[in-house]
Amino acid sequence: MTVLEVQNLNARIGSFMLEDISFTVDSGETFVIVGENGAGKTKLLDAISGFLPILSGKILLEEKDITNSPPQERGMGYIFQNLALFPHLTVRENILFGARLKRMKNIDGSFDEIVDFFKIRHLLNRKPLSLSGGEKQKVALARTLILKPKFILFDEPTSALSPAEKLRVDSEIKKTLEKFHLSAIFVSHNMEEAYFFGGRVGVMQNGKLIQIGTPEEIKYNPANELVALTFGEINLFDCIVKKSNYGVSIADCYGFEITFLGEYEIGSKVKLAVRPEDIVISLKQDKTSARNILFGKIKEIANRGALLKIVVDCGKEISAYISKQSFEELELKRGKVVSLRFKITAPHVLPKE
Amino acid sequence: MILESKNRLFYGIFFFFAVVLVVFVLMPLLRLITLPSFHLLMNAFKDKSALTSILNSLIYSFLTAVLSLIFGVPLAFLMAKRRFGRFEKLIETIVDLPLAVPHTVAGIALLFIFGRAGIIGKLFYNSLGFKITGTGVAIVIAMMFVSLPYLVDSARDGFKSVDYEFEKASYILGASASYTFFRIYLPLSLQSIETGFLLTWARAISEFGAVVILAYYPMTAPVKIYDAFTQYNLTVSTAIAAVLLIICLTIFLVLRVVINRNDGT
Repeated sequence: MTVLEVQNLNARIGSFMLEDISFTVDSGETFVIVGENGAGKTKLLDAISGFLPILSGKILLEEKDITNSPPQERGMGYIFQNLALFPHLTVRENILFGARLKRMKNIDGSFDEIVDFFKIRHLLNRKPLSLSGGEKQKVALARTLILKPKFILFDEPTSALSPAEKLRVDSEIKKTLEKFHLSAIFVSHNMEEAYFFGGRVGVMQNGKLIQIGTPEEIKYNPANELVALTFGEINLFDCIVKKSNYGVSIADCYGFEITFLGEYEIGSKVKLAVRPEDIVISLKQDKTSARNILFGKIKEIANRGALLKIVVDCGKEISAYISKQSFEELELKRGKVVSLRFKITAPHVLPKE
Repeated sequence: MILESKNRLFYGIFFFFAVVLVVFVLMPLLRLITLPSFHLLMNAFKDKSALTSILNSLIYSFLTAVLSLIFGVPLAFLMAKRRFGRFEKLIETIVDLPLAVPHTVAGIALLFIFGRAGIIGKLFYNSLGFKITGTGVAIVIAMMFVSLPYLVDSARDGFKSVDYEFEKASYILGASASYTFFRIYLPLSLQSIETGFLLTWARAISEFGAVVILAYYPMTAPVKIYDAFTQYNLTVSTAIAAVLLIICLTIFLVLRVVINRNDGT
């Protein structure tokens, strides 16, 4: 069942436009919106929550048209980037801020339930400034959930947290949304969070919602170069189709050939994208099922945490990832000649802009 | 080592200028307090007209600060929230204008409005028989004109420093604009408003130029000091000035301590 429906939303903020944005969020779904800084993610949340007047379009929450309702009457929760806990009020006063205003029935019962759920009773008389990042998140969630919102908007609430804390808080948010069976929009510029929440992802660019799909769908069928880059580093090849039949094409790219799926007009230009993690580095010319084999010298080696990024000059610089163990086994070093192999399914043709 | 000595030189130079400035402010004031003999100071304390003028200064300047607070806070809030649209810069300039106008000029300008022949002054005189000039009302008007910018600017900066997300959070939790103002903006800007209040009060107490033109009587302390200086001699006026300074310094020090203590809790 659809809980939130945004139809052809247009809004203007100075010279910036939110353009023709449409999407739905189903009951219990966490719809993740990703995009670079300045893509318009927060502005979209502001338009949905009523802080940004819209030029045209419709917003329906549980089939009720809330397009022109003030934020106070939309029945939505909003977890802000900096959480916006009122610094001069105690945790208790923060949590009860909205509940008292709305004169909710059985405030005490709801308050106790929420406080116990988040295990924050010991924090009630403290001010937000004395809380840790994780504790602040819990208080912000408690303050929102006590009002029993129909929908929650999360605006990069973990952006200021350490990686370890981010994981903990993301788990907390996911657990909370599941427990209260809540639907939400979660804005992030981190694809890991998109995978973590497991639902659909919308990619925003320059005020437009460019693509919607599962993380895997978007990762392997990006709508354009920028979307492809949103999901991490990528190798892009400008090629000309040389051969194409039986669902397979071969293209000439920078003096080497790449075989990929799909039929294209011979002589046409295509832009191919290959993820570094889909490329295998090897020293031998042994037999392999990979149809694409390129040779080149290692130009750069960069540490990427658990993996190493190897840049190989094959006439064009191509990046590939390798585990530290494999790196040591292969005794790779700058200047060494290696082969890069990737399957016929690895290259993806980017749509023409 | 070299870096450390360079740093020391940098801070040394800055400290030199800072100390010069502090001494520049303190020296004349301390000299003023210590110059008159104890006997003369006591005489000034006992002089009824001198005490009345000091009392006038304190009361009217306090009223000025309160009125500035009542009128200035809404204006400061609207300015901070950019509610004046394209007139924002104009309003800001108008509010700060009294800071750039010589106070005697301000007094004369006010005379054209609140004097017996002035636009508002005439209205009051004709309808109520009340002459504004030469009354406490005129003193407050003159004081308010020159000191209001201190409160408005300070409060505006305070409101501006409140994160917009607090307002959004308040609204999404169900609060109205007025509730958000009183429950969120006001407490979070209180320190700036208090500072603005004190500055306004301080500026109003010391006002001479505009007040003397709009209301020579009832005398405020600066007018009395000027009067004593022209009528008697420097010794008498110094004693009254010293008494005014002692009272003002005591009040402001006490208020500063009280405000700082409240902010700390």
